[in-house]
Amino acid sequence: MMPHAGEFIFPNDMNGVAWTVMIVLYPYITGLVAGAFVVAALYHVFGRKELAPVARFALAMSFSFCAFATLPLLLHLHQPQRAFFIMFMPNFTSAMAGFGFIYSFYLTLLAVEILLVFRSDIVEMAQGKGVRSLLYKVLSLGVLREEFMDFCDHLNLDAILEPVKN
Amino acid sequence: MKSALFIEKADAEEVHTGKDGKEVKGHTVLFGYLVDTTKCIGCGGCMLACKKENDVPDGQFRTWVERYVYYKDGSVHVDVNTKGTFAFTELPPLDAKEVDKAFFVPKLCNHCVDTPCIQVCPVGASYKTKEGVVLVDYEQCIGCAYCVQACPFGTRFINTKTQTADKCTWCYHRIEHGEKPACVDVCPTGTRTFGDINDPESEISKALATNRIDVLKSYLGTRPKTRYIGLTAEVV
Repeated sequence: MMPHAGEFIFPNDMNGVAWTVMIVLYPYITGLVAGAFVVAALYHVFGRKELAPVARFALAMSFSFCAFATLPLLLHLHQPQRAFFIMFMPNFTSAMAGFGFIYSFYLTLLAVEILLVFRSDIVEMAQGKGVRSLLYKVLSLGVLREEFMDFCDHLNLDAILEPVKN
Repeated sequence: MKSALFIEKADAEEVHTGKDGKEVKGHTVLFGYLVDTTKCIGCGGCMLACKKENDVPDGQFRTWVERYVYYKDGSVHVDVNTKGTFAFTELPPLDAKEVDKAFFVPKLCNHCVDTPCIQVCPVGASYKTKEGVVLVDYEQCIGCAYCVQACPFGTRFINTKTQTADKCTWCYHRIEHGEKPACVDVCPTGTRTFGDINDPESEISKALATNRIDVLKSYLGTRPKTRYIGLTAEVV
């Protein structure tokens, strides 16, 4: 039995606990990410038709929250400029070190799923001219091919490279 | 049965690489620290010396002295002088009629053999030197405070000046030149002993061999190299 354990606080802990509200925000956001991801997966992967109306929205929501879930963690760090040290020089006995890799994998997975699920919309939005359609052209990956060839033709690369070839 | 305090001692005839890169025959250095709580008078000179030597910010402590007061009604009260003044004069005086007994317990980093803080550091900024001293690389620390959470002895903190994790280094900048830590140097009663526990002739080895030794929270199995004489069950 420790009779005074509840009363006595080590002097370094008197300034407050080390992990505060920013650490609590992170699981709250990832909870939203995981929940929305499950809803999206139930329709897209497991074919639950009743979730069709919200499946696409849930996926977009999952990606959006996932992209910013680490922001509170970044704000928690006392040396935020060194945040990527977790991935450059991880110490694998630390539970936190694996986090960077698992999180990146999750975000990549979501990004790929978004690209595939929203592909028809991306292609549609890529038509025409302007900054917005240019953005969607980049996202569409394949649609760009034709335009890229035109661009190369315009540069007349053959004429430039011909002397080099000889 | 193997002792929970067991630390593998180096072979005296072992061959190892010295500071200049050449092979040296003889034992490797393994530092240890011994606190004799029966000698501490609670003056707090060690806290002031540590603060001065290591530029520790106000309200944060690499070492501190706890006062355990046992009252006649059976209750135990623990307090620490956190004001950074000499002795416990900042705290209200005790009434001798009510107090059964009282004593002081100096605390500092335990430089454990099996360290929770090094285990949890995500970037490897916490590390152990070959002399067994646990240090923080202030250039590498990201300030996540995971180690502050992990240390069961409350010895780590986020330094408000450097914004990185910080802790007692046993004054590594002094001991690597053969000096003693600042707290050991200033202690007027010889409460604190520091030295090489691999050297059987050192002051600390003799003290460890001839006294009843305990460590803090031995049930956690971290095997601290900061050891104590005169602990009681109530000391956390």
